[in-house]
Amino acid sequence: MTMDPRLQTWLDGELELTELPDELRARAADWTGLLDDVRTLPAPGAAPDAAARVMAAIRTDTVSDASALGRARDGLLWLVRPRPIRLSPLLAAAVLVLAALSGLRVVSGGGSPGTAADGRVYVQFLIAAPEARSVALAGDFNEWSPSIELSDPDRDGVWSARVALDAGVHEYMFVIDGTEWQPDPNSLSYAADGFGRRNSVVAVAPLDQT
Amino acid sequence: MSDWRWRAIPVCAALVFGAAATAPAQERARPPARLERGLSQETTARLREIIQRAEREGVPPELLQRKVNEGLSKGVRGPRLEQAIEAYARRLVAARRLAGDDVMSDVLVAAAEAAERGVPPDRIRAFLRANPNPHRSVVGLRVFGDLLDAGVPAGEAARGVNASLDRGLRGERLLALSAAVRRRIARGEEPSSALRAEIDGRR
Repeated sequence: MTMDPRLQTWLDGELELTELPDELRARAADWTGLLDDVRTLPAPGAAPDAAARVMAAIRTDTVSDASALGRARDGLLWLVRPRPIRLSPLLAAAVLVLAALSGLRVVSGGGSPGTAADGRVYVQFLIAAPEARSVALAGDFNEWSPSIELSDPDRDGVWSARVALDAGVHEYMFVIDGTEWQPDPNSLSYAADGFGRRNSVVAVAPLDQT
Repeated sequence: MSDWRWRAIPVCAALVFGAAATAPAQERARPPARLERGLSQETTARLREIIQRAEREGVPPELLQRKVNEGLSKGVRGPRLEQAIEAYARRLVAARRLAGDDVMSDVLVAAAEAAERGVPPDRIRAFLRANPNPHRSVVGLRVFGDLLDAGVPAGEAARGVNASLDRGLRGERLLALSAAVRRRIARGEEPSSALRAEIDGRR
């Protein structure tokens, strides 16, 4: 379909409507209605209130509440919002060194079985006490205070605790339900405690001699 | 971002790393002494006198203090506690005379324990001379006493412990030697042959 060149000239604004012949004026009127409809359509790709919403968001981000509560909220928002951080190479290297050092501490403290970060050795204490409500550990390593609590997370009656001890020989006992002092039935050695009972003995070899 | 936020980063980092660095020191901290807790004035005065007298003989007071704490935790009070501490102090003083002035507290305790279990003083002295490393002597004397308790003659027990130490047995592995010997004896084996069998089995 081809358009009459005079109508095209009118659409280009180079002719007045009155300059068109009568047979083209009716079609020019149709074009006028169509163009008016197009002008009323929203702009493609943007919601009608997009500009208003963007401006509201910008105001929320930049305008701070001067009250203490407002500052606290701003600080919290700052912590949780992801944002790009620019670091100088020197600072980035320092951060990496610190992270590496802290990582080494974690590995030597928890990931390597049996060794603590400060050269002590982790010892696992176990006792089967199905009827116990609580089990604690006391020994010469904690001035005989029953302050190390054993746990039984799967409730099978076997209580355990992992304790970092210096190398050497240590005496200890379990304390059941806060009152009943009991030696470790699985200990390899025992020693009279001087009070009419016997302590269990654990021998911890130095790290370089295990 | 405002300046205070940037300043907060190194402060937070310092707090985190500072806490990590001090954690082992906190783990190592021990509860305060409890000498006076739950004791009469007379008992407290008597215990202080025992501890001070032993200290003059070269016994570190913390060893006796720890034994007092042990008794208190186990509910021992009054004259019974005094007698137990007095006896322990005597053993430690004797061990100091036996072991010399230069041995560590752990060795002193091990020597006192071995003497209490019947290890002859000359054997203890010889064992300490042969094993100046406290990591060897402390657990070695313990096993020595265990073997003697089990009926192994002192000479064979000393040779067995020294041989095991020379072969690198330490810690619980060395304690396991005497436990295994006791099991053999309980099954009817003669103590000396039980020890020999266990040492041969660990070659």
